[in-house]
Amino acid sequence: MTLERQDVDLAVRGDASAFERLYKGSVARVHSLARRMAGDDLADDLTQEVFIRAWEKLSTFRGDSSFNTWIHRLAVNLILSRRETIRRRQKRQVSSEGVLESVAGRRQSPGLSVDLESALTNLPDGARKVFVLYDVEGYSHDEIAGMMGITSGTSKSQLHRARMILRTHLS
Amino acid sequence: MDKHWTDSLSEFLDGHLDPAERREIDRHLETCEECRGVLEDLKAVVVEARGLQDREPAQDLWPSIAAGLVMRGQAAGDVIHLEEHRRTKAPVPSYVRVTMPQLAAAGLVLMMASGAAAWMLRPALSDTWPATFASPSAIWTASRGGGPVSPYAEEVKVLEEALSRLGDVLAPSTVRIIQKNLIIIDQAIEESAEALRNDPNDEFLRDYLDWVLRRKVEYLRETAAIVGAEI
Repeated sequence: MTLERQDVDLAVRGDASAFERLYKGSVARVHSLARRMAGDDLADDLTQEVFIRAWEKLSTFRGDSSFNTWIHRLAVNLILSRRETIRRRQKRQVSSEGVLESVAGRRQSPGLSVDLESALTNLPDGARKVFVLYDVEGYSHDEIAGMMGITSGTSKSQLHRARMILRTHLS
Repeated sequence: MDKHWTDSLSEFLDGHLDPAERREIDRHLETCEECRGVLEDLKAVVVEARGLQDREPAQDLWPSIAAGLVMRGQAAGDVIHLEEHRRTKAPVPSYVRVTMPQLAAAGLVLMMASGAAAWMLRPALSDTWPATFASPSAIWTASRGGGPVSPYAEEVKVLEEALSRLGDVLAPSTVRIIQKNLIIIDQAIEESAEALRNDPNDEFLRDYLDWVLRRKVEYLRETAAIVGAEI
């Protein structure tokens, strides 16, 4: 039995120390996912919510995959379920045309280096989520379509939209 | 640059086009420098996305999560092995320290969050239950100085003071969760006390009020233990 599996078993029985070890092994991935999909403002709260939800659902973890994979999927589902909350907090991104202009405008600023992480926060909500799930996390369009309740074709077009915006950051 | 072609470049890049469409794009790319440039840009975006490194959060979120687990654990009757947790718990890193105004705010809010704050702030009544709670449970009616008292009032006060002293090491998000949980508990206390006032002979209400009062002191004990408060 792996150390991770032992910690899962201990945590299921209520051992907070074991769960803390699991937290330490997966928090960077969960927090990065939350930050990329929902932005800096919500990343801490979403990460906390993911781990508290994981604690509650830990008994359903069967060990078919690693704990990291399991909690990552749980995080994706939770973040997607908070779509409305996230959208309300990102009112500045209502106009995708405005986004395109502001992103394109940044490229013109001499000496301004904008990394991909910060560029992501300026993408329209749907395009950002599809981009993160497809290009960063490696999900397929069919999986994304299922998780987001959209068609595979919409997922493809959102991905292309995101990439076309982000390409303006690369010189 | 023809949108008809550029719209297909992501699918071309990802290998999602059928062979006939792919051949058509290939032929177009041979003659269109602009589309070749867009394709190279898209490739660069994909490479950069796949190379993104995960980062830890700027502050340790574990204390806030642990506080949340304690609340959930108590609600579900689960066991949280705090002794072991304390032994293995790393010290709170210095970078989560907050400013003095935040310390004051944390302490104040902790006090304010308690439904008992009003009587705790009055020295003469510091361990006396408010007179409006006229018919308290048998467990907490032991008269001290003539007035009804909560057997937990003194401990609650000590624990809240201990937690407020930790304001300089607790992350604001931790303080927020503690406040939120205390508000929920105090709301339950207030509602059950109100119900008991209206129906003083209801044994269920008495037991329930006592249970909620015990939950509050247990929550404070567990939280103080997790965050390392010195009592």
